[in-house]
This record gives sequence, C-alpha cells and structure tokens, in this order.
Amino acid sequence: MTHPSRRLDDDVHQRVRLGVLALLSGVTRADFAQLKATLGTTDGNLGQHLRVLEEAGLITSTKDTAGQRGRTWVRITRKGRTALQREIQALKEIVAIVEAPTDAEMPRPTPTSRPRTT
Amino acid sequence: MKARSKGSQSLRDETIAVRPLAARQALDDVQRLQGVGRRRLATVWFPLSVFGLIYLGMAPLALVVHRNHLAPYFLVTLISASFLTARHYRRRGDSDGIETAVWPWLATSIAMTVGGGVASVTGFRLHSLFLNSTGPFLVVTAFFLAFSAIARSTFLLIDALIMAAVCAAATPIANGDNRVATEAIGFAFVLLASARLQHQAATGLN
Repeated sequence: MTHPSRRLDDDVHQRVRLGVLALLSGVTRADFAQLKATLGTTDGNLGQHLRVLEEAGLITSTKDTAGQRGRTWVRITRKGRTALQREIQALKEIVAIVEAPTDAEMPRPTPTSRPRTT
Repeated sequence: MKARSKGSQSLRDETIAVRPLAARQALDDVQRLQGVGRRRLATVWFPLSVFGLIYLGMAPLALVVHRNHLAPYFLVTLISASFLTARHYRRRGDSDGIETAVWPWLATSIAMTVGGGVASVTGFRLHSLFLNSTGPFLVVTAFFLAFSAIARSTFLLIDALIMAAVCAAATPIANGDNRVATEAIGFAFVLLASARLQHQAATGLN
C-alpha cells in the first residue's frame, strides 16, 4: 500500500487552494471578495490559485455583470468535491500514522501471557 | 511532485509540508471553513419567522373551520413561505457574497407538511384522536430534529425538544380542535421566539 503522502494532489495540496475547496464544499457558491476576506489573501494570490483550480476542473467561475462592478462567483465541481475528500482522507491517514504508538511505546506483555517453557 | 508550467514556483513554495503538525493544522482549517457553510445553513431566523406566523394563523382557523379542513390553508401558506424563503436566501447571498443551498430547508418544510397531512388523515381514518390532532405536530418535530442534525445545530435541536414538550403538555389538557389550536400557539411561540433570538445573534444585537 502506498504512503498517504503519495496520494496528495498537487492541485489541492496548498493552503489557499485547500481553503477555497473547503469553503466552497459547504455552500452553493461564493464570490471572489468573500473568498479573499475569509482566506486572508490578496487579489493576485487568490486569482492565481483559482486559475490553477479551474484549469484542473475542480471549480467553475462565472462573471456576474449585474450592478456597477462585475462580480466573480466561484462554485465547486463534482471533481473538486472528490479531490477534497481524497485530500482530507490522505491527511487523516498521515496524522493517524504519526499518532499511532510506535513499537517502543507499546506495552510489554505481562509475565502471565508468556508461553510456558516446561 | 507533478511538474507545473512556468509561474508555478511561488505556488509550490506555499505547499503544505507533509509534517504531522502541518497535516493536523490543514485538517483543522478544512473543518473550520466547512463550518462556515453549516453555520449559514443553521441561520434560519427568516423561515422560522414565516413558519411561526403560519402557526399563529392556524390557531384561530382550527377553531373556526375545524382541524380537518386546514389543507388549503397549508397549501397556500407553504407555497408562499417557500417562495419568500428562497428569495430571502438569494438576496442574502447577493449582499454578502456567499450563497447557501435553499433545498435542505425547502425539502424539510415540504416533507414535514406532507407528513403532517398524512398523519392527520390517517388519524381521522383510524379514529385516533391522538394521531389526528397531535400527529402532525409530532411529524414537524421529527423533521426539525432531522434538520438540526443535518445543520449540526444545537439551537434547532433545543427548538425541536421544546416542540415535543408542547405536544406532550397539550395532550392531557385539551381535545380535538382546542388541542390543535393550543399546539399551534405553542409552536408559533417557539418558532417566533427562536427566530428573534437567532436574528439578534446574527446581527450582533443583544
């Protein structure tokens, strides 16, 4: 079996991109300004990460031209949800592997559990 | 690591290092951000107010037109409530930049109304006064419990428990139309009071 770190997807495994997918997974859609405020990032940085996610087919974006200024709405795709679930699973496995007790920490067998020699 | 075309170096630099602490931190961040949607789903002061008003109108109507003739009232008010709720969430999404799904709320409200109607008709056919007059309210309570689990909302869970208490309290003190009216007033009070509390919490007023 491969180590879970090998299953981490480069398109997802990044703080801002993982944050975008996590936020979008719980809502119908979010606009650029809200994503920027929630994730505490800059216009340029967020735009760059959204482009990576969109090229990978993990999100879709639409421009809303209503009002004085254009607004970009972002929505997670089915592929994006699957990728996020896979990433969460891999991260959980990494944490579980590290937090599992090592051989040195395992309790030693009690004397009564040893096989008899006579 | 997959090779990425030019301009990707800065992105790679921010990649979460696969250290246990970083993985744990990333999982915590994911959970926190997923909670944003859940919290918004559980912020339901508007539909709570609408349904509170529907129950408030139902109380005198049950005494005037008989509890078994309330179906047209519910049909009209439910369609109106669904339309108003959908419009409210759409407007809220437009104003603050996050749109949440309306379907869990609409599906719950339609299912609880249909379920309540079925309970009432079944009670009438089986000559069960309890099922006929308290059944619909218990169905609504059960759907509230289910919705509180979906939205992971303690607030809605408490609402559902108070609704169950209203049903239990009304059963021994009133019968027939009086019981339906008592339960409707109880439900209206619970829904309107919790809508007010949630609205205050949402707008930061105390």
